[in-house]
Amino acid sequence: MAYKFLDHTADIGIAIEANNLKNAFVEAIYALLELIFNKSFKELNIKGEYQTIEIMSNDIESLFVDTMNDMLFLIDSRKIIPLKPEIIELSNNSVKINYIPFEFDYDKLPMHLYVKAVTYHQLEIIVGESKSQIKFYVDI
Amino acid sequence: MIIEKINDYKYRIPKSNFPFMRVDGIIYADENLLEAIKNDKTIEQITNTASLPGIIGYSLGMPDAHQGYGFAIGGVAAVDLKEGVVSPGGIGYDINCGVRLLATDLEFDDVKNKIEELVKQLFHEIPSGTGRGGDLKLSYAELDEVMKLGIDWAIQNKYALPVDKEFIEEYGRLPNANPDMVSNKAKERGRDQLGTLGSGNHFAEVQIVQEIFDEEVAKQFGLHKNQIVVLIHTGSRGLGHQVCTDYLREMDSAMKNYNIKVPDRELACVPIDSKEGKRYLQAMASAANFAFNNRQLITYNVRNVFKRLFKTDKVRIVYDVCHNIAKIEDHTFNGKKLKVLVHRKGATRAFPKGHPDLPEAYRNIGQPVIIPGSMGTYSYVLVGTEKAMEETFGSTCHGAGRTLSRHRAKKMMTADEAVKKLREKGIFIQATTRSGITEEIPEAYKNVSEVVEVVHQAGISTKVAKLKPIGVIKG
Repeated sequence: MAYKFLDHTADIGIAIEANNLKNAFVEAIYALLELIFNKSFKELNIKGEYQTIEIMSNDIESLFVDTMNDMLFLIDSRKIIPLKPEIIELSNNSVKINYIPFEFDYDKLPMHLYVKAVTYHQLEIIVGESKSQIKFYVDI
Repeated sequence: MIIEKINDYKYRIPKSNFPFMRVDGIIYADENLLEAIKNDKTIEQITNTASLPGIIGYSLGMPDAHQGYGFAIGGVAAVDLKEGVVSPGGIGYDINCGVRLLATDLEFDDVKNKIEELVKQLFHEIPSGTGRGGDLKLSYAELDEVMKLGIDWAIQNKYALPVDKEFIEEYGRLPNANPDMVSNKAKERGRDQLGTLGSGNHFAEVQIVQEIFDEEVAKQFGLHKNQIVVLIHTGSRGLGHQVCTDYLREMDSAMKNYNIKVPDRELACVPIDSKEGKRYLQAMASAANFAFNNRQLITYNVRNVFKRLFKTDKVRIVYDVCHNIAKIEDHTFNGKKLKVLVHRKGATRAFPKGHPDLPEAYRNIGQPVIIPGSMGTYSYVLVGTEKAMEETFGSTCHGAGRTLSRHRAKKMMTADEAVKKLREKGIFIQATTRSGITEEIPEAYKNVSEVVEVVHQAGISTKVAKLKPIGVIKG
């Protein structure tokens, strides 16, 4: 499982690779967090009560974009970082995510990059038997 | 793809290139800028925009055009009010991102010994940076008033002078705003961001009027050589971003109800007259009114700093222009008078003298067009022309446009080197983050002077004054 950031003239892309689509969604959330805060949250050992969010959409592409934009909303509006995200259920048009909400203080954990939105631009979701890949771009 | 040269500053992409193109594409550029435009997906996006139902005339690209989402940034599309569609991608994620120019009664000699102090105080007074909120915490009822009333809210609350209204596009209030069409999510995202600069390419700059190209027009705009001016570049912050996200989601689903297919999902659109279209335009107007007030609160803080440091209360708005917006306007195409919805995404309105939408003070001169440069480079004041009405639905360029990614820009020089380079040019900078400096170095952008020269030579707006920065405030 891995992600890497892609160069783009005005914005930034992210390429995800994971053993299945559920894990690719999780990796995408971690990548978005790293992009915004310039630090990885993957190895963070934190305990807390999980919250569940359910998102429904028209197809897998819109489900992915909507999910990532909902994560962005949590960060930008509620100053909550969705830690230890787990995909509980995933279909072509709905996803259920558990996460530990971590309320951050801007002065202690400033945002490195402001992301306006996750977009459909050159979005690719490829689901294979042993590998799933997602490529997406964010507007910054 | 076939691209035909019309003249040294104008190129055509014939609609015969693709079956989905309903109209030709037209790009305003010189050879050099056209080559830069060809480097990314800008041309593809201009041709995709030409597929929109109801598009009239051309899908236009300005000389600062670069790849955006759905529409190119630097794109203009006018659509028929009855047959046409509205596309949030044609406005962008930063609704009513725009620029405001403030003119003072000071000259360079008055401030030269206090530039550092001036920039520090402005940086302190103007909240800036990624995700940072402002000092003003609005209730949801107050936020609704901000969105509904536009600049009248700021006047009522003493953040604006009554005269300010005259010098803002649309008099600082889009009348069809309806905050009920703005989601709670968008309101929550924007509630503490009023009066904040944000980050990225947004900035406030203290500048000197370095050169005057058109004495008569400059005089009417109240500009003269060596004058100190302030340029503010920001938009509707998280509130506008969320409005765009919300309605793209809604239109992506709704398009099938209207049998609309687009080549790119970021171009999702619905008929202007549909319930979704009407709702979006009311939400967009609400976000636009928020943005007018955002620039107004920054103006309020700028005025306070100038009063404190220089004992002057003569800081007036030259003009405030939107460069991410859609508006219903009257235009003539092929000799026929039409009411159209003009999408301007990274493009500036450029109405000529005599236009009824201009304030009385500028009706006999034309609309001021304000073009911000990249950090530490020149900005320009131009004036709208009749040719813009004839060729571009009264539109022109909006800025420099990036040519290098942030990653590549950061590799070019360190923040210390960038600050040193700016200091050598007599520019003092204050920024929230070091990356905010390196990512926005002038080398990462097209040459704004070349962009402005194209629109001047093409006649879709003409040069009035060149502004040189002496102080930069960045997120």
